[in-house]
Amino acid sequence: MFIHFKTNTLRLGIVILALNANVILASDLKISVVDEKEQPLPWTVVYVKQNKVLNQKKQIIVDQVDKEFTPYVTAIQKGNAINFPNNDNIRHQVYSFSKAKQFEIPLYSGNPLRPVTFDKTGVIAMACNIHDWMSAYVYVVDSDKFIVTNEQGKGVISGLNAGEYQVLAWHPKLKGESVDTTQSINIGALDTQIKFALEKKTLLKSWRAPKNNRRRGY
Amino acid sequence: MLNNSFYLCVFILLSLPTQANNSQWVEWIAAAQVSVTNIDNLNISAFNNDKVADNRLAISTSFGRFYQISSTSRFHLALDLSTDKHRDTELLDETAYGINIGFRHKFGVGFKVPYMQIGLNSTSHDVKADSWSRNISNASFELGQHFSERLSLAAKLNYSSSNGSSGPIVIEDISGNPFDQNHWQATVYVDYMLEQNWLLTLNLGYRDGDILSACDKNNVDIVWEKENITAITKDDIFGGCVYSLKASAVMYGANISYALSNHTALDLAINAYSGQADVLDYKGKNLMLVFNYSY
Repeated sequence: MFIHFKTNTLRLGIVILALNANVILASDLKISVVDEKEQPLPWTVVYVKQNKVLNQKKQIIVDQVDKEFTPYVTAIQKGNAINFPNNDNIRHQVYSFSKAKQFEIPLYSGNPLRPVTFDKTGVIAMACNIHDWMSAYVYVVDSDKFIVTNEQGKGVISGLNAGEYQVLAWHPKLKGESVDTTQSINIGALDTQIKFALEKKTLLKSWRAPKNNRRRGY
Repeated sequence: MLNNSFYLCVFILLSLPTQANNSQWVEWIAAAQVSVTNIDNLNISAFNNDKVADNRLAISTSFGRFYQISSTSRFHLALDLSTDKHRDTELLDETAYGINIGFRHKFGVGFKVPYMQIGLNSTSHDVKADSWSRNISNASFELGQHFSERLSLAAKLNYSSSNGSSGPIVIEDISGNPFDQNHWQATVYVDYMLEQNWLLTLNLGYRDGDILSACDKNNVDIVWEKENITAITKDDIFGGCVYSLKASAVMYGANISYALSNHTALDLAINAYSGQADVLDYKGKNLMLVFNYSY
């Protein structure tokens, strides 16, 4: 009985140690992205370069509402698919000529027949052929640790084990080549913070508001 | 005939159901515009001592629908209704109603693919001074292209025809209907986005054909002596005569738009023309503040 008690205590100790080890090793990376005027920069994809990637299949949706794509920027893991429902009461025609994925969904309303699979990393710029101002981006990464910053230019990547990492940032309107979009970081026991300051172009998309109707073009 | 066409279009727009085929009636058009314009030469006079300046408040609306023919082509059918009020020259106040039809075709898929647009419209202008009431029809052809997110260009050719009523004959053997007119105009538009919410549009055009001018009794003799008047009649509005003659003009302008939202914009525009008949010059400019809405 004494031997049983010692064995059970030993087992309990190992479990407690293992649990604590997980708590110690996995931390959050708190991300902040600003532009050249120190203003929050939403729609920035920030991801961690990994040697081992956990393949996660997710349901991803890029919607069309009030003649706009929602969201403007979507980050997905390589091999995942995106569904493009059209919740407008009009038809759209979605296309992309980007090298990472060329596709076209001809004029449709409601749900298209099948989602589009993105199996190459890179940038995919999409648009609607009917409504010229409609544009959006998909950024495909070979990582399972990534976020897209919110309106406040912030995001959190959770569950990072201790170690050295390269963290990369991308925004659809990055200006020029001389922008610091890669940082090395050491993840430790506590949550880590990282800040990117990116220079971006002024325009997000082309003109949508009505033009003076002397032109008589809708 | 215009009345019948108007009601026919209302019937077509409201009665055809949306179908779930490749070509179908799709989105609705609902647009409105409110503008205040300062016009420095309302009567398009060639004489500085005769020019009448005034301010005009105009409200216009369009209601219609697009019909998607294919992924690259669509046409629209819309009804237009507008009203103009002048601060001083009340007799020029008018209500206008009409139809407009347009066909647009993109030469492929893509943002920078050129497009062409054909437009036809016919409007009945019911002016307080009855003699000035007339029907105006336009046919236009436009080619355009986006060159980048900031820059786009368009070139438009427009033919306009106006039909009015004949007034009393004031000069023997000269028509008493100066409101029957035709002219051509070719215009180039440059749109440039300065910032996300700011758009600058420049336009430069050339107009050739009939112009309508009104002047007082003192200046009519000068016009008759120097120019080849094609029609002239007594004028109820500016106190002399209203006449037509052939002239050509350079039209130019600039418009700055501020996007209040995806559906609304505020515009400030200045437009000017510099025209010449055989001898006399016709110049004018107007300054507009416009609120635009589109569904």
